[in-house]
This record gives sequence, C-alpha cells and structure tokens, in this order.
Amino acid sequence: MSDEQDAADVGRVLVGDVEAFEGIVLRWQEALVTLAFRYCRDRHRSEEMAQSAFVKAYLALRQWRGEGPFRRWLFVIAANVYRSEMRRNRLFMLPLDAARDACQKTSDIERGEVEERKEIVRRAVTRLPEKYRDVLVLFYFHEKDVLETAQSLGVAEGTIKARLHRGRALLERALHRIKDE
Amino acid sequence: MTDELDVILLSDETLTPTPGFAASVMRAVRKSRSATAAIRFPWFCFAASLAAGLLCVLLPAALMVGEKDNVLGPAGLVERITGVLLENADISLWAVPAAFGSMILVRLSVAFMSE
Repeated sequence: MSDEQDAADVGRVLVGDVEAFEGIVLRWQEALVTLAFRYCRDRHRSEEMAQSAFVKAYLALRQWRGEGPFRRWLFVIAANVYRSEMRRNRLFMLPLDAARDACQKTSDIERGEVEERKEIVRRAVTRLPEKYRDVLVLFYFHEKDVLETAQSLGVAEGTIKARLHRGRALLERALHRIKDE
Repeated sequence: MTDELDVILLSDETLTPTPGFAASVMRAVRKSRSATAAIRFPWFCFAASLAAGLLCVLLPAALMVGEKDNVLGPAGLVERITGVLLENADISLWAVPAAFGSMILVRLSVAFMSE
C-alpha cells in the first residue's frame, strides 16, 4: 500500500506539487531518523542527518525510475548521506572508552546494568571500520534481511555475509577488550 | 556472545521524530527548491559573450580589409570581410568550437551546482 502511495506522491512532486513530498516525509520519517540514530547514537544529530537525506532524495527524485519500491531507493540515498555525514564528523565521535564512561555516568540515574551494556554494544558498532559498521547497522535495521542490506549498500549478498562475519568478530573483540579493562 | 549481540542489536530502539520534524524537512525542501530554481542557464550572459566573441573575430577582419583596400566604406564590406575570414579559415573557425565548448562548460557547471 505504501509503495503505491509513494509512487503517487512522487508523481505529484514531479509535476510540480512540492507539498506532495510531505506524504513521503510523514511515511518514512521514523525509519530514516531511526536509521540515522543507529549510525550516530545522537538524537538531535539523527534528525539533522535524516533531514539531509530527505532533501537529497527530493533533489534526486527524477532519478527514481520506479523499477523497485521507492523505500529501497530512499534507503540507498539515506545510507549514502549518513555515511558521508559520519565521515565528515569523524573527529567529533567519542572513542569507545569515553562512550563507556558516558554510559556509566548516567547509569545510576536512568539505566540498569543491562541497558548500559546494550548501549555500549550499540556504540561499539558505530566505532567499527566503515564497511563493517554499515553492514551491521543496516542488517539489523532491516531485521536481518541480507538481500535488503545488500541492496541498500549496492554490494553482493556474499560480500554482506563476509562483512557480517568479520564485523561481528571485531565487535566481540572490542567488547572483550573493554570488559578486561 | 554472537546470539547476545543479535538480541541486543535487533532490539535497538525505534526513534519517534520530534513533532516539528516533518515541517522542518518541508521548509528545507522548499528552500532547496528555490535555490535550485535560481540556478538557470545564463542565456543573457551567454548571448552577450557570444556577441563579444563575434566582435573579436569580425573587428580584426574588418580592419584587415580596411588596411588592404585603404578604404573603410560599407560598399561590399560584408563580402570582403567574409573573404578575409575564409582566407584565414584555419584560425577563424576555431571560434565555433570555442563557443560550443564554453556553452557545454557553463551547462555542466550549472548542473553541478544544482546537485
């Protein structure tokens, strides 16, 4: 149903009705903000990144050929925007140890130990080398759908599986190192 | 450990955007639309440059004609200028690809700015 609505809204935007783009924004805002958050773990920044992705999609709307679902095309654009944003702001990212400390500071007040550990794991994903981070973020965002992940990143399914394996190993190693310290 | 990672990463929260988010996106979209609409092919500048370029080709030709014939009158001037241009066709014909190339470069720049 949303595929048809997306196609209809895109059609209206392309004939000059800019306001029709709002339908697309309302339908996909939660998904795009959530995906951005999984890249940066910062609520405010995730909305800025999602906004950039929507604007980029709007400007490139004529390039969507309607060959696949609009959402797939939108996620490809969003993943590219988020990757660029993360690359651009790499210097401002917290090191994993600092992230752990930040989690611990707030843990007494609002988090239990389990929640704290979950947050450390999720932040550790954002600290992985880019190609493993992208695969892990998108794989779990797409609820472990390898094909969907491959399409969002424009790489083969075999590559996704290999990067998942290596990414998980790197993640486990990083978490062990933190645990040992 | 991998199973635990699976559970943790699968259960990551879904974020609900703040109430003004969609409106803010639409403002940015409208702004980007007017910004790209403002970048159009500069036909006026292109026509003015083309006229100036033609003048640069024709004026020396006219002067050469005047020098050769020792007169600067309108009678048969066009034919004589054409004659000079054809005599120096190897040089004057460069004006055509130069103008065409300039147009392509400007078009590419406008397209790049609109990205």
